[in-house]
Amino acid sequence: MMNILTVFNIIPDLDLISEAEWASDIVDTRLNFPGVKTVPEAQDESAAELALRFRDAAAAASADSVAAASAGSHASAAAAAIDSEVRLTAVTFGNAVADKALRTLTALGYQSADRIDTDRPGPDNEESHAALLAEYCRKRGPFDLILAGTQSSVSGFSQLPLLLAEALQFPCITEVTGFSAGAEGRIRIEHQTDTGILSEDLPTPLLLTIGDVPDTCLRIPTLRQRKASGSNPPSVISASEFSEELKENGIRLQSVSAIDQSRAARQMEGDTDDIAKQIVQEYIREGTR
Amino acid sequence: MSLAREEIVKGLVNILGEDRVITDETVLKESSIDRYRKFEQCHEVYTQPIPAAVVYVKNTEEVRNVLMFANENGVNVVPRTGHSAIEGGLETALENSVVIDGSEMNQVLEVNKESMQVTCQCGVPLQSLEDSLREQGLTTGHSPQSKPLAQMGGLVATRSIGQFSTLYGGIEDMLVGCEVVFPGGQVCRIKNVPRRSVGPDIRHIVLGNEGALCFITEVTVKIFKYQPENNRFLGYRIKDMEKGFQALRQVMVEGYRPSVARLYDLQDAEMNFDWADGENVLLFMAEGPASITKATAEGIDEIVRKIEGVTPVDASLIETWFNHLNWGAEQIAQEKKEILATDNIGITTEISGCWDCIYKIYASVVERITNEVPDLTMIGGHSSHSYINGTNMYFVYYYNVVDCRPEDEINKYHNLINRIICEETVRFGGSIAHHHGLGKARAHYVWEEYGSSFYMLETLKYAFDPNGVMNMGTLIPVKHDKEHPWNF
Amino acid sequence: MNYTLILPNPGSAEEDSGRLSGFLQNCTDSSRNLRKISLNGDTFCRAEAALISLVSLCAEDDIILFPASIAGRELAVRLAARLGGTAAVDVTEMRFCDDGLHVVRSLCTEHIRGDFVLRRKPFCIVINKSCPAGGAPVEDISKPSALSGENASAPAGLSPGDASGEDAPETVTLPADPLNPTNQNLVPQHMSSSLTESRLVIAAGRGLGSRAGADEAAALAEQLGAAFGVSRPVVMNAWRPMEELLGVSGSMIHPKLCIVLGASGSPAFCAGISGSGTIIAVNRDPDAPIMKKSDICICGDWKDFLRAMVKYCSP
Repeated sequence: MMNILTVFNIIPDLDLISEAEWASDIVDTRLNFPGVKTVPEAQDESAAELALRFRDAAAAASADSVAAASAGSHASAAAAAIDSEVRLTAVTFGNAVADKALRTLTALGYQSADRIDTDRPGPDNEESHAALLAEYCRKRGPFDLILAGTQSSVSGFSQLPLLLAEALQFPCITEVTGFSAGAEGRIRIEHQTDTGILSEDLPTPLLLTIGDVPDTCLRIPTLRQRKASGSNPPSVISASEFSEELKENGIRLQSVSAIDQSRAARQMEGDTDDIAKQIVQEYIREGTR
Repeated sequence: MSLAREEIVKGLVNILGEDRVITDETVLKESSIDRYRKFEQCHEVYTQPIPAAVVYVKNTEEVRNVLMFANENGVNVVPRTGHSAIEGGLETALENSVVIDGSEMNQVLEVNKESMQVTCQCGVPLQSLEDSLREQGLTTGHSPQSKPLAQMGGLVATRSIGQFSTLYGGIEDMLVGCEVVFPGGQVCRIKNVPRRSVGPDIRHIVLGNEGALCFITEVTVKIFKYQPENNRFLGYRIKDMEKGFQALRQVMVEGYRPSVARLYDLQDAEMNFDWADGENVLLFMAEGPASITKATAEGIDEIVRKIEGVTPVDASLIETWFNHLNWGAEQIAQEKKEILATDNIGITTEISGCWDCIYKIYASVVERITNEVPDLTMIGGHSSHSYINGTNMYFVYYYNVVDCRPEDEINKYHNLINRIICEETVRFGGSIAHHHGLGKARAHYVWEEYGSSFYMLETLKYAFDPNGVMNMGTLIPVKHDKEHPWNF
Repeated sequence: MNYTLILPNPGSAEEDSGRLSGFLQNCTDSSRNLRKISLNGDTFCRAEAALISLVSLCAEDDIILFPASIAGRELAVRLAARLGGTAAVDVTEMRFCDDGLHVVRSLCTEHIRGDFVLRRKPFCIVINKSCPAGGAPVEDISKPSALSGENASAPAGLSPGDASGEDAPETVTLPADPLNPTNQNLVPQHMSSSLTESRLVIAAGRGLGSRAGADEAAALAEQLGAAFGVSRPVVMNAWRPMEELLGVSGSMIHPKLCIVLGASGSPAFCAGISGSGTIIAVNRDPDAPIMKKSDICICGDWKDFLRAMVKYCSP
């Protein structure tokens, strides 16, 4: 059986905030956006969907191998089925607002969805959150695969998964664009490196940070699926349940300000053709300016 | 006697010149539909007859000449401005139709601050009109969700309504006068007066005609003072949906005129508000002079708090939500990407009903859709436009498209759901369309909707469009399966 | 205070070294104890192998700088964890003060500037992609210029070769890959150097409309002798390949002239082109954010404009 953990965080939908609102310095160092609708981190969503696809592939392969094995014995068919079982768990940091997203995951077939009741990961609390998550993994695991997004739309590059890998002493692969069952019980991973796209088979346990993968929006559960999973609500873990002292973070966000990218913005009006001619003459024909 | 495509194009080129007659294949395909066939469109599947041309008109004279050409030669025309319609009204249902696009007639002709009226051509985008009026401390008061895309001609043609209608009314309350062109070449101007009693109000031939009677070239609408600094917001969770309708009713009956009064059922509330906590949501906004907004907010708050199962929420949450409501090109592109990635699609259908039947309509629609529609991922809705005598219900529904070609999705799911909504609405005495128009989709229920008064609609159509060239299929279907009106 | 520069990828070591040195020159003017470590690994840098070496080599360091690469980011964070220090990624400015190391980086997809304080040494700092190499930008007129209608020319802002007077890096051979991978297959990817080196770039966004539109724009750009880059929605729709992505997740460019077509101007995209000498934006929406972020803005259709440019550029 394969135990997969997906770290699935919810953030405010930054696309909803207008340029005028950003310029007016609405955000402070807590990076809170009260009242703005929340969405999952894009790469966490990819991770959750990829985990479901992995499970679906395992189920399909299992159906094939059970069919083949049952030509042999009932016991070997049962063993083949268990071997290819995939157990999906999701964990998030946040308050009750995140429960909606977790319920979606259980409706889609995640066996567990847990919420660590503390503030969501930000650019200056990743060390403490990684420590909490490591303890969670030790208690709820062992996990064969841990998935998390590489980047956060709010905090930028996410240190949390790497710090978690260090705490658990898990091998870690970043910028993963795909993974599937490999040969001999290994996982075949495709990931972006500085010299190209590398595919390789690696043994578990592994921590994978998911990069930009097109077409990996999380599928939508039907009402029937939601009803069926209704008796499996997300479980809330309060921070006080963790034995370890909250790790001190070595980084602190002191201040924030809006970034101004504005330039001269001189308008050129008139016929597009004439304007293009002018641009070519002024900027291209005459070379450097 | 119908003209061949090439002859239609030639005739149009003679009238307008080559550069305004578009026959590019991609443009023609996109112009054969509107947002009703969203799923097909995302997959770039085009099942409707491809028009012969899309023409861009620059003035009333050109509109007149093109319409007369079409009328004389039996060519179906589809008037269009913002291309944001969602009920099939812009579909080119007949072969070799011509889309007449008025979006280049985009001049604001006069802002009359004394008479509080603005006159503009049909192609003026509402967003830019509203933005420029706001800079002058004024507003149209009209704010449909399509504001970033919609233009004035289409907004009048569809009897559109905006988010602040409970205070300002719908487009029918805002339109003062207009200029329209009929297929026979008649250019008719209705003058601007505050009220008239000179026979039937002929503006109502124009309002809601959905391009089936005339082409709107110019409109004059009222303007109002823009005083957002006095806006007040109220929000509540409410346990019981039926009590939510009662709350809305009571606010209206007691004489309050908030600009926004909405009731979200728990499914729609969960989708829109992170703080809904599994309950329905009631929210209000008061707009206008400071003393009035204060009194309105206090009066509404007093009424709502007395209702059982109500929990007030922080008003700033409502204000934030409110600032992020509208749909522009970015959201549409993002939606397309998600639809293609998940095969899950969300649609809306809005109806209206008097207070004594609206809850029954809502409850029976939700029950039937939940039981009868396959692969459903969400069904819910909200009321957003209230009156002394009733309100609307805006159903929102999402479904996975399973084992289904793009061109079959419309019958397997979308039309089926529409049929259920229309059936239940008619059964309890409501109207099958509150503000999106009949288009071509709900036109299949026009007889049930009108009953005996269908004679009046029909007569208008025969009178103003005797040759049947104005957006055929809209309002009155051209092909109709009586046994299965939902199959088209 | 001692500084160590880590160069994880032999293939880009020279460029990385230039950028790291340049960053350091901008951030401190005190004399410093500086060394460079170049990692000589396999065809790519395996963090687990590199970390084994780096933990012993950098145990006494105060500040360890990493380039803005995939390996750089991963190594910095994991090394900081192993050494009990603190890491910061995508840093644009750095300054040592009494209360710790002050760094600046952006947040919320380039909307916000964040000022941070780091307190626990060693400080593992990954510089931002936008940091240029040390020294003033060199006007290299030796190669033909795209702007005179010929092919792409030298990179703006990169001095040829490494900054003079600095020591060569010490090379460290990494241990064998501890993860024991099997069935490895590397598909080399050359990030389009034409994007980062060209003096004329056409940068297009979602307004391209479709794959066909995107391909037409790319072809027209080629006719102009310009490099072609795109915004994130274009690659996420699979209209153009990832190599053409501009912005914080793609290439950060410094052309003389950047013409932006049909892109609304999200901050992440604009950060990618903000190094441009002149930005000209063409968009149908006069209120699109890109208009205020350009030197010249034109309200119109990108296709008409680009086709006209090609027409007037042809001999």
